Amino acid sequence: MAQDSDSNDTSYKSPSPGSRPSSSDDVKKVMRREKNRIAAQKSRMRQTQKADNLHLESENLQKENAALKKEVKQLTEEAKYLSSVLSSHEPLCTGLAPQTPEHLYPPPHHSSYHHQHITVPHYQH
Amino acid sequence: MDKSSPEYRLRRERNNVAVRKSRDKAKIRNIETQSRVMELSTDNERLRRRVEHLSRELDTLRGVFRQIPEGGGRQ
Repeated sequence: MAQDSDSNDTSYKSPSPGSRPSSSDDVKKVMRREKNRIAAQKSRMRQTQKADNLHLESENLQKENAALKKEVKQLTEEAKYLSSVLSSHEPLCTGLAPQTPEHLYPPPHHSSYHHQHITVPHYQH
Repeated sequence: MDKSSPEYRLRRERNNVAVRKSRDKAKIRNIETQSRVMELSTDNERLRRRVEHLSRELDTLRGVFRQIPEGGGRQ
């Protein structure tokens, strides 16, 4: 349980391997400690790096997202504009071929299919 | 540094609590950022598809204007 732990107390503890701690044991201990210190440092660096990268990724996606939304808006407006130009052309259009009599091609609502010189795709949104 | 003293123990306990709190906050922030990254990724994918679709739509519409023959339109 962490409640009473000294886990965050990093002071050096005295050796207690046996009744006669040799200096070579001390050296090994010091070396192990040092290895562990470096490993812990590396681990913390990796963790920090990972968090920083994640944050960067989030920022980049946010920017991309904003740019894409802007593009969608612009493309939608342009499509609407072109469609409206075509719609306002429709009643005025003479086409190439002589006029086909209206009663043979009763124009359905919003249809441009009686155009003989222009095939108009119809986009409904 | 008397490790048995109640003052020491109190300070240790307070620091332990603070450390736990700090680490928990960092963990939560990390999880939230991961979640945000996932959400933004799916949004961006959807937006890319929309851009692709709208571009094709525009190309088709512009194709209509290219069909205008000489002298076509209002006379």
